[in-house]
Amino acid sequence: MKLCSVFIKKISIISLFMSLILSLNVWAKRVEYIVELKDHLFSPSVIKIPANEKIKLIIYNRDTTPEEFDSFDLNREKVIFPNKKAVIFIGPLPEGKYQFFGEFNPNSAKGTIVVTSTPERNKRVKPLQENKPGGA
Amino acid sequence: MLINTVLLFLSNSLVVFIVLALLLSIKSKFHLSGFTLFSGAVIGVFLMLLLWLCIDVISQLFDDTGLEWFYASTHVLVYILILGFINTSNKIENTLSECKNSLYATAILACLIMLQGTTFLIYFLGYWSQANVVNTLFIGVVLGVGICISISILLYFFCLFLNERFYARSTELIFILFACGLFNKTSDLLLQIDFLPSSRMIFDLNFIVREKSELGHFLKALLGYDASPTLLQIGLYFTALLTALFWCQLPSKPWRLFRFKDVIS
Repeated sequence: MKLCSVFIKKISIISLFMSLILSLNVWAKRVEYIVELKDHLFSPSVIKIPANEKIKLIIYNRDTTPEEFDSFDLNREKVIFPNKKAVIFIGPLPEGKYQFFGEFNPNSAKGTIVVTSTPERNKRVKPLQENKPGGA
Repeated sequence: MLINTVLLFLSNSLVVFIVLALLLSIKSKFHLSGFTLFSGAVIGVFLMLLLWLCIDVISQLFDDTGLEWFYASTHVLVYILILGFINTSNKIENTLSECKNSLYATAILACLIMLQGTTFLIYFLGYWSQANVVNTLFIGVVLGVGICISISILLYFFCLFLNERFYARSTELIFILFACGLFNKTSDLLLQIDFLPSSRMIFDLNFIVREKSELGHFLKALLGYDASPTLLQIGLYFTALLTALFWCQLPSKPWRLFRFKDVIS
C-alpha cells in the first residue's frame, strides 16, 4: 500500500512537471511564414528564417490534388489536402540549408529553408486572408 | 510517376508487411489462426476507407493539428496493444487467453493498415482522376506489393532462423523494438505541432546509414530508425523500451547457445 502511494506520488510529480513544460510550449507565440503550393510548385521556394528560433510554417495547397510536405532534413511530414492549409512548426535550427519537397510530386515541388543569423525581417508574412477554395 | 508510386507504396505499406511477417513467424506459438490475420486485414481496410472519408475534417481540428493528434494517439494505442499481445502470450493457459491474443493481433493489424494505408490511398485516389496515370499507378502498386512481399518473406525466415537457432523469443524482441519505434513516431508528430519542446539533435548517424537510403527506410519501418534524434526522442525511446521489457518479462531461459556453437562450427 505504501509502495503504491509512493508510486502515485512520483507519477503525479512527473506529470505535473511535464504538463508545466508542455503548457509553456503550447502557449508560446511563434512567427508565422506562409508558403503556397500551386501547380505543384512551392512559392516562395526559398524561405529565410532566423537561427535558434522556432517558427510556424503555414502551407496553403491551391492545387486540386493533395500533396505531402516532406523533409528529411527537418524531420517533418504532413499531408495537405486540396484547397486547404497545413501548419508545421520548425526549429530551433542552427544556420544552414534545409531541403523540403512535395512527396507526391518530388520533381517539381521543391524548396529550401535557409536558416541565417540575420534573416530578412521584412519578408515575414502574417496571414491576411482565409484560404478560399480554388483561390490563389 | 512510376518510381514515385513505388516509393510511396513502400514507405507507407512496408510497416504492414513487416508486422504480417512477424505475426506469421509466431503464428503457431501464439495459437493464431489464419482467420485472425485475415479479419485484421479486412477490418483494417474498412477503417482505412472510413478514415479516408473523414481525414479532411480531422486534419482541420485543433487549429489544423487534428491529424497529428489522431496519429499520435493511434501510435500509442498500437504500442500498448503490442505489449499486451506479448504479455498475454506469456501466460496462454486456456481458450480465453488464446481468444484475447487473437483479438490483440487483429487490432494491431487493423490499426496499422488504417494508419499506414490512408496516406497512400490519398495519393492513389487524388491522382486517379488525372489522365494517363491509371496504368502507372497500377504498375507502381504491383511493383510495390512485390517488393514488400519479398522483404516480408526474408524477414519471416530470418525470424524463424533466430527463434530456432539463437533465442526462442527473438520475434517478440523484434516486435518490442518495432513497438518502441512506433512510439517514437509519436514524439515526431508532437514536435511537429509544437506540443513537445524541441531541442538540438544529439548526434547524426547519416554518415553510417542515411535515412533517405533503402536501408534507412527499412530500418525506419522496422525499428523507427532516426538518424538525427533529439535528447527528448532518445529519452522517450528508452523509456518505451524499458517499459516494454518490464511489462513483457521476456524469460532468459530460451537462449540456444549450444546451437549458436553449432552454427559457428
